[in-house]
Amino acid sequence: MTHGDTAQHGHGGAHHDEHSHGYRQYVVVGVILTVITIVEIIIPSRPEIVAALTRPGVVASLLVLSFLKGAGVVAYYMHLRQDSRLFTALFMFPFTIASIIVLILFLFFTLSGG
Amino acid sequence: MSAEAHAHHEEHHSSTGLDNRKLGMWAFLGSETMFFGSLLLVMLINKHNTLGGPGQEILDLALTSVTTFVLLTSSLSMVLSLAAFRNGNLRWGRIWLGLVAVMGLVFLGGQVYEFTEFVTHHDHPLTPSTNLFGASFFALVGFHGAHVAIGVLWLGTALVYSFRGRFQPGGDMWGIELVGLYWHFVDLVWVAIFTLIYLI
Amino acid sequence: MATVTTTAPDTRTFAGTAWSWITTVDHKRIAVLYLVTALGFFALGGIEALLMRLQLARPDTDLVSAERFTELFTMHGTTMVFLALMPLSAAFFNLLVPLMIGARDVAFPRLNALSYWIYLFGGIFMNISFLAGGAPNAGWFGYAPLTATQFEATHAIDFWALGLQILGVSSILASINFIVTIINMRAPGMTLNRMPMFVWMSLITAFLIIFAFPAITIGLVLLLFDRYLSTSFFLPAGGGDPVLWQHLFWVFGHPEVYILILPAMGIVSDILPTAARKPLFGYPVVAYSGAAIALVGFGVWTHHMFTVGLGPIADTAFAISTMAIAVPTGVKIFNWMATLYGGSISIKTPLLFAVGMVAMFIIGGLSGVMLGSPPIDAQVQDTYFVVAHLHYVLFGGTVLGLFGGIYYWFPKFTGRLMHEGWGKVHWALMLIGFNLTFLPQHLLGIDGMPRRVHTYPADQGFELWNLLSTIGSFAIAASLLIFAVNALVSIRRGQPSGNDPWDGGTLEWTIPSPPPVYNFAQIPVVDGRYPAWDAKRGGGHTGAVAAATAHGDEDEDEPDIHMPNPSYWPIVLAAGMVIMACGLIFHQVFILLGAVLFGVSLLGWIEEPAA
Repeated sequence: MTHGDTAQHGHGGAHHDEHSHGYRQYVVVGVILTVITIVEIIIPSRPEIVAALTRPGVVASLLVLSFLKGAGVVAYYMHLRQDSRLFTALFMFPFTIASIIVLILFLFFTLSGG
Repeated sequence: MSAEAHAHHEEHHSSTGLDNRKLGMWAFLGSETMFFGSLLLVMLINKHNTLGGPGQEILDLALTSVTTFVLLTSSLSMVLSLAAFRNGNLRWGRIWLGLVAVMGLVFLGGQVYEFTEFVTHHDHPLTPSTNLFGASFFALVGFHGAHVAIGVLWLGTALVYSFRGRFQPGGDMWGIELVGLYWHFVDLVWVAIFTLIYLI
Repeated sequence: MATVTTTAPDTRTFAGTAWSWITTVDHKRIAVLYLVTALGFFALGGIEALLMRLQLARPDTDLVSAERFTELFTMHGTTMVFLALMPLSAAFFNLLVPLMIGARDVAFPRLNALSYWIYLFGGIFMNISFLAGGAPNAGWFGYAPLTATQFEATHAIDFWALGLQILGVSSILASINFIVTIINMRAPGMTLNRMPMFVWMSLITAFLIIFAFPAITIGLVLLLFDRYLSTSFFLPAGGGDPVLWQHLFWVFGHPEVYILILPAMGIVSDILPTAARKPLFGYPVVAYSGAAIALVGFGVWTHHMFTVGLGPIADTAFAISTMAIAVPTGVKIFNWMATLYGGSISIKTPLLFAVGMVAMFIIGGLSGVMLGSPPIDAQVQDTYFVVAHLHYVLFGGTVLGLFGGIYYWFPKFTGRLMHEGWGKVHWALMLIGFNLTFLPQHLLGIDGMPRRVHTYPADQGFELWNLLSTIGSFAIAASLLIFAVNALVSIRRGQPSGNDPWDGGTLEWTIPSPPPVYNFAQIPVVDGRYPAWDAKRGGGHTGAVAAATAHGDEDEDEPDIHMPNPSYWPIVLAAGMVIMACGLIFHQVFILLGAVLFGVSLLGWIEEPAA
């Protein structure tokens, strides 16, 4: 009766009760992700918003929004929020290394003028 | 802590109480972040490298916004499928799972249409050899598309197996869990690609 | 006593025996396959090196043509790194990790077999190039634009790029397997901080592989795009940048250096305590310094590119991170010395190789710190100084460490000891030959002899050092012949070793040699870092290798040991993959053929009961 990850984080019973409102939570997260995406599409397509935020502002807000979106997918849909911390570490460690290396290399290529 | 409880419904002992296959999947996804990180880097540094040819302006934001929503919704469908299977609701589990595969196919269809449009454009065709914007675009989006295609095949296989006696109520769900993790990851990568390539 | 259930093929006939090896999923047999194959490729890479040394023995020679020479140094490097040393380490992972953590097999036995077959076919695929119009010839790091179609229109580079892709798949699959095995398959009580140091280093190496290989994989994908789809990722004429290849290669390439050395460091960390009869000094520090080396190893890659001109800020930052790596490395070396200090040392061949490794690695490490300084690097870039440095760490470090491991665990593989006297001769001759080969190359480099040149004129003062170097390389070859004969004779006629010839402290010494197919009749319960010593000496512990009771319910329900069944799908799947790669070189029909084979075997794999 306990499946998969439920027994793996010590409070399996609590998770079992979550099943009923689990659906609702997934749908709520889905709605939030959709709203964020709509906002993301609107920001660069409206000249007045682009003018108000300026180019760096647009880039920064889009990066923040997509990061939130990704975090939502990983935390709720991939269950990292309730699953073993080990999975989080296994994923976030290379993600961090990759981000830093990509950032450094991006700076190499843009600062040197390509 | 939970190793004892786990031993009852797991075929073999494991030191952490975690499932081997799931652990392996997460390690694989960790590795995948480096794959896509490298490709994203190449795309980012070549984004304006057009040699006067077609560049970012030819990307069809309207079409891609639609397929982006489709992929995002497929992720919701995927997680609902897993929840349904876990609740013992085979019927809805299969329906949601089938929907994920269909939405994956819709996304791929959009991508094939997009690629064809670029390559066959009568004035300014964009092929991998046109310029580095095109090369990087086809490499990155194609690599992601290949992941989606593999995901659709995997989903189809899981669906077939659900009709052949797998994922029964009370049974193990790792087959659905793994394809779910993979699918969400592919969606996650698209979140990054959509923002960095199409929007910014 | 437990009975073993597995459907093993009939091994009384030759065909049955061959079939049993082809379909094996037993980690110990896969270890033997890795070991034999890797030693074969080691010999091949060695012959390539000897040919180069013969060509360079005297000035103005034309024993091998300049074209052939570029193929030789390219394939020597590629073979040694990807086909000899990494697989030799993989042989040790396979043999030792399950035995050391008290497991019956790895987490995914069929995946393990798949990794091996992909490696074997990938290695053969790459070497077929010698017969198919020319071997890879752009150096083991294949700098653009040498790899461009414009400069190499034959398939030489395609063999190299596709071969490396295939080998990368093998390495990543194997690493995921070992990460899961080490995290999840440990015996009760075998906490992370009780694992033998070799297991620690295997875990770190596996993480390095799965995080570092993707960079070169993408680099190679882009290279194949350049060659097959006429893109210009690395070609300035089309707006591309050759430096991008260098970055992608070295983001992988520098962690690769630690992928090659850490397993050998793990082996040494397990040989030294046994030889000194005292526990490893500073165990947690040795483990964490390994992790620190790996972590910092991701942030040093541009020290291979100091002469590219990335600017003073980049060069300074990467010089600092490079030198920082010397700290955890030095920590390890001092811990090894402290392990020996005050021990009652028994001088056997494994110890000699371990000590040789530490000493030679110090020399290589010091020249590494020198090269980590941009001004010095600018002077000796692309000279024999670099060749000398990398051989001191990869040969003096990795190869000596791995041979130490072979002597140390040979009895566990075979139940017989290798001949001690000949082992010592091998060690002495190899160490002398090695230093004779590579010590003069430091001087050649400082004198300005560039690496990768086909020959050199007579009046440059290079003659003596080159001749000594060639003589030394043949001394190494002679020592390896002694090793080969010793190993072959010892397998049949060596002195029976018993289970525990060295008085070892780790779990593998508590079980028979060679180990039974199920490794442990009963899964041990571990309560210390050296459970075998605790058991033998009864040092206050409750018998570290006592019967398992931790998951007793399982034992009561099922007293039989169930081992995974043999499977032929791994070899078929691997063949499908490599045949697909052939399609990109010979004829498109192979792509279809390989894909069908791949698909069929994937389905067969899924349908087959896993255990």
